[in-house]
Amino acid sequence: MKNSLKRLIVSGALVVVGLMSTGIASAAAVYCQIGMMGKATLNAPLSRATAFTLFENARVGCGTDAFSVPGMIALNTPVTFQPFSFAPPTVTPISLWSFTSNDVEYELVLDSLDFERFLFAGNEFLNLSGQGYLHVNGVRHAPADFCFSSQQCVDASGTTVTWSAQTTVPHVPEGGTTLIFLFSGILGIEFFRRKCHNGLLLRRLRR
Amino acid sequence: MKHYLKRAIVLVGLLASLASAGPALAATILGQVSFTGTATFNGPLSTATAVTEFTNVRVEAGTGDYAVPSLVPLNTSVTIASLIFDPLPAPVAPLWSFTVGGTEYTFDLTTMAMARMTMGANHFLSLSGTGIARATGFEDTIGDFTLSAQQAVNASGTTVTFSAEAVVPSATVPEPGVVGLAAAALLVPVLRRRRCRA
Repeated sequence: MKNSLKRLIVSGALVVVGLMSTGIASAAAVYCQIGMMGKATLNAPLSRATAFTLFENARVGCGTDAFSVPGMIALNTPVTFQPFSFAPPTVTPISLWSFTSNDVEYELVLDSLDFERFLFAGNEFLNLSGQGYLHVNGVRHAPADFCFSSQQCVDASGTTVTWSAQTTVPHVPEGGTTLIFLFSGILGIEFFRRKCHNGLLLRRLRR
Repeated sequence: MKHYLKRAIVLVGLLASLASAGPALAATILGQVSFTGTATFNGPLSTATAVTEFTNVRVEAGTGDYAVPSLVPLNTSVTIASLIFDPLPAPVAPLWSFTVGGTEYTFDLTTMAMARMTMGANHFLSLSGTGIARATGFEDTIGDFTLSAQQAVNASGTTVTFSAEAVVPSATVPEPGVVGLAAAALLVPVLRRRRCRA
């Protein structure tokens, strides 16, 4: 009986070590994403603008995983966007956006920013792409990718445009730890099963 | 000289009467309106060919006959029809619509072009189209429509945020007030010339 228990422990430990070494149990990255949108004012019409001077009505539109909307974050949660220059980009790092949900403050600090402006079918488009870090309650949490787009029709006047953006952050599940806990659980069940089995045997022998 | 003055007065009168004839000329739409919302595609943005659903779409900004907030309240709810963009769509009527008071604003899409871009491994979609803007009490007016959306490199899922704008070109039909002003401007040099000669 003891031998089989020993075998179980050894084989379980081997499985855990094996899986961790092959990387299956090591953290498989799952990406949380959050989408935002709103209105912005540029320092000139989009075709020759170099900076956003004001963001208004910025809010959360969609999200997944840790940012799931409306599970974790309420739809239309207000977001504070800081004005920034994209041509050339504002000297980074820049605290680009922040919002608070359930007493947790999320903030994106951008380290790099690229832009592409192009005329397509007579209308003007602006795409921005950047990388940085997500900060949670002021603590640097995880690397983040950021993308942003806006547009202005050929005949549009003024400097106000609408925009949308998305940020993705890797969320690392506890791969190895989970497996160890799982193995411990199975081991525990097996231990109690054996204990019960032994108890029954003793009772039968006493009879 | 009298003949010139008479002709000028007749011309001004004619233009003024055309201007005051009103509704037929005055009612073309003039302005621009911008939206934001979320769009669900039929696949990741890099390979998607259609928007299957637009949700939480709202008016963010507007000018002229779409002026926000004086004519159209901020965050007015907008309905946008599902849209196939690859291959390019057949006319969609209406592509979008919203109602304020008794006025219904719509836009029928007639042509569209699509561009997909990748930058920093992030995916971008740009749509550019033309169509006919309609509003209760106004003449149908030709307008432009643009939409853009983006999806970050590691994002999964098919729902993203988007922004869009429609502009009704001012060059289509001049307002009657403008016609009247032009007529008056024509009359001024004639009168001056006559005074100088006198």
